[in-house]
Amino acid sequence: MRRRRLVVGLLAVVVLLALIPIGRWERDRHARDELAGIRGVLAAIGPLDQSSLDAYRVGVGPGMDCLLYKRGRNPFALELCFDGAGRVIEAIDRRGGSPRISSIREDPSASNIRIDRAAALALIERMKQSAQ
Amino acid sequence: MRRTALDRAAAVTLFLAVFAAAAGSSVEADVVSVAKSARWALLIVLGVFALVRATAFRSEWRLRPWVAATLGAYCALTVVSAGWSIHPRFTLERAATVSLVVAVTSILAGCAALSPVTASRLLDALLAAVSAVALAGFLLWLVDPSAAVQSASNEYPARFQGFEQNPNTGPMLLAVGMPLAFDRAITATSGRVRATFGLLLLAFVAELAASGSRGALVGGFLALLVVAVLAPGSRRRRTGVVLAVVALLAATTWTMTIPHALRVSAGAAQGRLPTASPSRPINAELAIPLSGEIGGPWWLHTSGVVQRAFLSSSTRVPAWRGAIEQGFARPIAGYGFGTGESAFANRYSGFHSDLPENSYIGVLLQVGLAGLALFLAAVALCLAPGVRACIRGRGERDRRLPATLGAATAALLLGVSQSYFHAAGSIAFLTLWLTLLLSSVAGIKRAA
Repeated sequence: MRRRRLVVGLLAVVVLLALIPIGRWERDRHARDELAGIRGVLAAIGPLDQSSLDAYRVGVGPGMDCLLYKRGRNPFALELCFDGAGRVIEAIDRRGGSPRISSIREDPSASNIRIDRAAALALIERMKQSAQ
Repeated sequence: MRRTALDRAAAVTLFLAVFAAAAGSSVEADVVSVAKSARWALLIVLGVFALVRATAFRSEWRLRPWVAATLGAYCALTVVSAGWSIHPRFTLERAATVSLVVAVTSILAGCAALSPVTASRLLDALLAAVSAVALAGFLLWLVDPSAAVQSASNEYPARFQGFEQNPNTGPMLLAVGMPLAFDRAITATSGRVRATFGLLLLAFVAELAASGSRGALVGGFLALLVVAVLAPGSRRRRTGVVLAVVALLAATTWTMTIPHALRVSAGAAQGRLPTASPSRPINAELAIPLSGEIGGPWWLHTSGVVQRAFLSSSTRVPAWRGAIEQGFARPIAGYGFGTGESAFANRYSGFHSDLPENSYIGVLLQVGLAGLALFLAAVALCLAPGVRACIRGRGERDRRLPATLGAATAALLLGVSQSYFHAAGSIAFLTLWLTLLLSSVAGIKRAA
């Protein structure tokens, strides 16, 4: 009986410890998938400074700033959000009937996609001034 | 004598700890700052009393090994999840506090395994704490009605929030208190006691109805039905009690439909949203806010004014669906225990929370299917002995078992509409684990 309990206990410890590499693998796979989606939106946008840049957001969610680009009649078709370190942590494609969201906002440090934050903020500032 | 003194000390500390947890989310800022630190101190004191009681009468202490093992495994998983968490330090803090509550309530429940009187004292302490919170809310309403009532809006009618910051918070405790008061009322041997607890139950129901909290309504009344069905007595008596509960539920539900949200003017309902144009770039948050994109007016071409019907679940269901989808992005192990606020991104129109407002989905999100399976296994192992003892008629010995199961049912049902299984400081967390663990020790025999 005692031996059986010991075996069950050891098995439980092994399963719990095995969850650590599984959890980390899931974390990395999730980050990879989301970053691939963000890269897709970035490619669809092209250069950040372009005439279809149509709207912005400042300080939303976990302190993100965003740039939104027009496609066709949709003024918010493509969106790119970055954090204070210039890491791109969210991108939204609204060209279909519903938004396709790629986001790593819960773990910004997992993002290896960066933009020139100062240049992006300058674009937002320019939009703010032209809206006045 | 010593046993009685220790039991009473534990009961008084439990009362204070539950009240402090409620005060920790009070609408009164001064109360919050004191209560937030007091609740942890009280929990530790409660743990010390429980340990002393368990050690002094260790021959009477019992806990079923499988319950202890499963709870231990669940707590260990919450700690280990720091290994893949998006916020490891936060995960460790949350896991430590949750494990502390589970440990303290396990020790307490073990003390009550062979002592129904001890269990009864603990349940009475819970009932007293719920009554105190309800009374505090009522007194605040008398003194400062504007603080105790959330004003009507276009979405909601005016809602009673009593002592708490949110109209859904206090009712969580009321829902757990309802079966405890109800059990006291229907098992009382004197008319005066029956009337007292009957009035207390009606007071809880009245505050719950005034709060408009639908999750607590469902949880509280299903808990009453559990007590009614499991209570000792003839079948005819039980049927009568069940019908009385159903009648009270119908009356309460009807009462909750009376207040209405503010009317929306025709202009606002048909209003046009701002749109960007090449000549005038705009702040997109004004047209398509990130926190309300899914199901939002920009996509649906509506005004964005949400008018809620009593039975409407239109805002919560998309949020649950989204949270489940997010959970299945990391399905086995989740994002790390206690990281619900960060892992869940609220993108749902009309949904006002940083959490999915469903504790089961919250557990899935935080510790994946592995954690959810362990949690549900622990709950089932706790409930099974209580239900079995009631069905086999040992309820006569553990007189308060129907109340225990009723309160546990309410606490578990509250998890369907509130996210709190990860938060040890939450108003109903201590109650959840204490009632579950009291159920788990039902039917344990002295010779075992």
